[in-house]
Amino acid sequence: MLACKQTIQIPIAVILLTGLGCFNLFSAQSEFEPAHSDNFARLNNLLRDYCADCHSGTKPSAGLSMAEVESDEEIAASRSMWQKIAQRVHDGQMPPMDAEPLSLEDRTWLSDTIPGIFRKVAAARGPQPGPYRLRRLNRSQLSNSIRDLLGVHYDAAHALPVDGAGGEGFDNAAETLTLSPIHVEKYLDLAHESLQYASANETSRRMLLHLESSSDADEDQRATEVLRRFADRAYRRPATDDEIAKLLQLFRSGRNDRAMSWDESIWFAMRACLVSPHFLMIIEQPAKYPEHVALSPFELATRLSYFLWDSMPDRELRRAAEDGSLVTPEVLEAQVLRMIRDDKLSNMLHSFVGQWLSTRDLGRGHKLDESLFPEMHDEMADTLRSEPVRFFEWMLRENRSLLELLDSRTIFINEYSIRVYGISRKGIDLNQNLKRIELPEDHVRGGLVTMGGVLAISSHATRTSPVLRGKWILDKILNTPPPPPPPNVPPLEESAHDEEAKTLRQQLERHRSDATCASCHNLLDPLGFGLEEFDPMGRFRTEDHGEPIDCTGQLPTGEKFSGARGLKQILLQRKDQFIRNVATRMFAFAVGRSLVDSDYGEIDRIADAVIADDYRSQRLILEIVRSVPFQHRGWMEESP
Amino acid sequence: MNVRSQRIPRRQLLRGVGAALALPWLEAMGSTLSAGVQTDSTAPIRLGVLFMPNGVRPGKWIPERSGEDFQLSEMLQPLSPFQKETLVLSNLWNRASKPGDGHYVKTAGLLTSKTINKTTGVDLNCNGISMDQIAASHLGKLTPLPSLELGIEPVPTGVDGVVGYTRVYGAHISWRGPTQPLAKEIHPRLVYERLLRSTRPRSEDSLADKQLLDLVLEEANQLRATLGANDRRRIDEYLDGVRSLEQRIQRLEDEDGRIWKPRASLDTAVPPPESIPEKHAEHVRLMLDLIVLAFQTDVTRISTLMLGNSVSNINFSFLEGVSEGFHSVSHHENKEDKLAQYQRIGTWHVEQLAYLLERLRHCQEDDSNLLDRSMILFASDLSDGNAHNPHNLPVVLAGRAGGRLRTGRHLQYSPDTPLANLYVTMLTALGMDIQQFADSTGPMENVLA
Repeated sequence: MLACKQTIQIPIAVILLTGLGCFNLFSAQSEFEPAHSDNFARLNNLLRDYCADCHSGTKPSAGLSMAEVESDEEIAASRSMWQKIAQRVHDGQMPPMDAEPLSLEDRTWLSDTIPGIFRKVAAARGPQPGPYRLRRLNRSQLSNSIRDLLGVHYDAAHALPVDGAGGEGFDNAAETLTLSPIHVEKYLDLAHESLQYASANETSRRMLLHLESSSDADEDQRATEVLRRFADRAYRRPATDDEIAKLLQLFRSGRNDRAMSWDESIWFAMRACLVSPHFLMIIEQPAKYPEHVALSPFELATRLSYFLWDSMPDRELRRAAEDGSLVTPEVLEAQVLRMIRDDKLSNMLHSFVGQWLSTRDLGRGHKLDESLFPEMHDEMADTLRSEPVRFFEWMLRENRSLLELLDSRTIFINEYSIRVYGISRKGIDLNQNLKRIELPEDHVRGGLVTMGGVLAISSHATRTSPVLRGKWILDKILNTPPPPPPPNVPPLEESAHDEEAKTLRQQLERHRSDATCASCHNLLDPLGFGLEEFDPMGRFRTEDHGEPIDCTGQLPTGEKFSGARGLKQILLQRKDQFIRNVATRMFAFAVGRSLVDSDYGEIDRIADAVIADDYRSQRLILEIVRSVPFQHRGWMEESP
Repeated sequence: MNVRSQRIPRRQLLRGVGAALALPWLEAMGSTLSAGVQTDSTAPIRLGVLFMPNGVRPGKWIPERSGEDFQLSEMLQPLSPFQKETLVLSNLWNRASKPGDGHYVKTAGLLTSKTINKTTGVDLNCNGISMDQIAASHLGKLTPLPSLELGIEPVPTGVDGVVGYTRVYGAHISWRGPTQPLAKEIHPRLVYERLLRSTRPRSEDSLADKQLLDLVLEEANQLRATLGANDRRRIDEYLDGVRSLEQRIQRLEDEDGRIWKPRASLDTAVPPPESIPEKHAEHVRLMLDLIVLAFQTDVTRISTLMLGNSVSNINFSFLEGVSEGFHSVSHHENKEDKLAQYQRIGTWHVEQLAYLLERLRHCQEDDSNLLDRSMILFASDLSDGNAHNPHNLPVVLAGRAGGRLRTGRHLQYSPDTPLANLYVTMLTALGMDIQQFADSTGPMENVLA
């Protein structure tokens, strides 16, 4: 097994080489610095030295001819071409294998700089609404909506296929929520099935079928009352008279043509609501480019509720939409704070936190080896999946600093996970529920990176992997995933039983002869080594297979650290970058689509506001809700 | 989550789908191929595709000799009882999967022979239609389900930030259209219930369902008119789903008029367990059993099964001598320890193919058996996973397809022969008049009888 007995030393040359751009870890500011002549000189030099041999002249390769560029606008004007250039360079496909290779530093610089220019040019135009995207409810949204709509405790979407993720990595991104025939087939099933539950449940029945109209109202009037109330809620806006008339037609045909009872005919008409695209999809009125049109109060209520609850609006939100008060800043803020206090917040956090950290996969797509880790039973996996969610929830409710995600004295444990965390049971009464406790000062735990779920999800099934853990930190905490290995270079893999090179240090040295491998792994591995104190389940250890653990590391910047405590300090020094990351992801989750250039200016503003407010977590939510893309109707066709 | 406070009897549950619709037969999407359908005179031919991720150990897959007296390689040993029913095809590749690093471009493009758009979401597009769906557009009308998409692993969480692809690509090999990956079912019990539901006789309440879907179609069409091109696509997928359901119900109505009557019935099948088995091997077996059941009962003639998603790191430590996940050992760095594990895992996959072939051969059908009336493609999207090598893919085609394939040989083609040529051949064997598929240069030589 892995044992890093020596400090990972990085030669000075590499430090200097990777000093600027590598994964942005080394610059306090992750964003592109204002372009000045130096940047263009560098860009033009690179293009001339590495590209122009093939990409110039009368017959340029791939029809792409490189000319000197002088302004951001010039680059932004040929966006798709430059995006392709940045992508091919990022992937290591250009320059091609038989040409002079680009250093990692230049490669990273180029592939970061170009999108940076797009975003800067977009930001100069001011905040924009962004594109309109019709999206269907995903599995959890559908399940939660049916639960709230019908008042039944039943996972109506259990038989639906799992949704894929897009954009910033969430399964509520409109673009990847595709529809197969199997979906429609299952929509019909679940509409029928969940209404059967509702009809068999007295509370649901009463809620759905009760009548307020006078007792001498005729049958149609009574049906209209019930169906209108239902459709208003299902469609998350007042149903149109035409829609009601059609539902009433269904009701009547049940009564007249098929001799259904009054109730049966109502359920029948309600079934139509549940398979209607107006229920199954989040539909907003698109706007025309370049108009800024505020969302209607009902649209805003819907966005809010699918953002913060992963479900449909409740009665209070609907009322605030009905009287229009929701669009006033005071009411909006009060509603957001109320929603944060509501239990349904945890729906959203299960989706958001679980996908952001990938901990959702633990015990499902990602399982530890049963024979090696029998302690990782279903209850344990469930606990470790829930822990970061519960922590985030507490942080948000208490308006704590977002930096507590990096380090905190508060953790949540239950009777299972206490065994992972090795905390004394004395004086703590534990059961299956996660319970908040305060850690003694300087305890190794606290914050995301020492949570069992995180440590397990970034391990192999049978052993830990500094490479995977390092990658997890770069991706999830700093939002700077490493570039892919260049083509035809096998990834550097630490191996459990390597005859020739026993320690990872030895293996690393071997691979360092290839600067391309080493320059990335010199960053990935030390970060991961900092967490070697924890086994694949997240249990603290001082040795592994008889070898003492050495968890010291040194980053390409020269910063040395030891263990998780030191690693957290390293991360806290990059706290603003972390905040920008959390803001980016939370914003993407809130708008439910892939991000576009113009969003990043707003994300910067949101992050700045959070930082200025002492990193308070509620500020993040409030600023996202206040942002132009969140409050406005998207543009129907692609904006220029 | 997953709270089900009570179970609804299956009969009730099944009633939900509604039944016979007499709606006008709406234009089917994607069925552009004009070939005449194989009809009554011939027994149905089934098409199965098993996808294995991560490639195979170099040097242990390709058989020694070519032609009829070829010797099965080490990894292909499990196929020895079926050597006469098997074609091993070497030197094929999928040119379109060359650009783009890593796995996704290869997995999503395996059956389309096209290059996917590089994206984490916007403009998700595989730029083609997968060969199984081409077949479904042709044969799908003859069975309750046009095709059946199965898998073992759910779509993974998140996007792959390192290579910049949505993992949706790595989780789908069947594409009904360029922007429509077909969601796969991974829960054996749900597959079984779907098979049942798709064949049950019409309910007494069919008129009600007709009205319901009528209304939905009208709404969706109204909505469509208000949208831009991108969003129309989503509505079109929804409309497509509604129409597919109508067509199925229509086909049920025409049950008596069905040209070919299945020789086996679903009624006697044993339902799979309520939950997905914990053990990977059991899970895979159940899915293979379901393919056999679906073919045998003629619920569908086309099925794809992903034995793992792209980059799958399923833990195979249940196999002797294996201590790592599949993807981990596929990056073997030429270390013997990892190579041995890589070979063992790959061989296990061939054992699963052999199991399927065995089960198919066991199913008598008239004076033949199901294997003789099937064509099972087993393929990976990589040859050597260590370097993501796309050349000389591991490809096996088993079953005689009703005598249309000359099996029992190892055919070695010239290097980098388009895999698409094989698809042309297979679709031809299914009775389609097809000249071209993606980058094909013609049918495979020596394959058709």
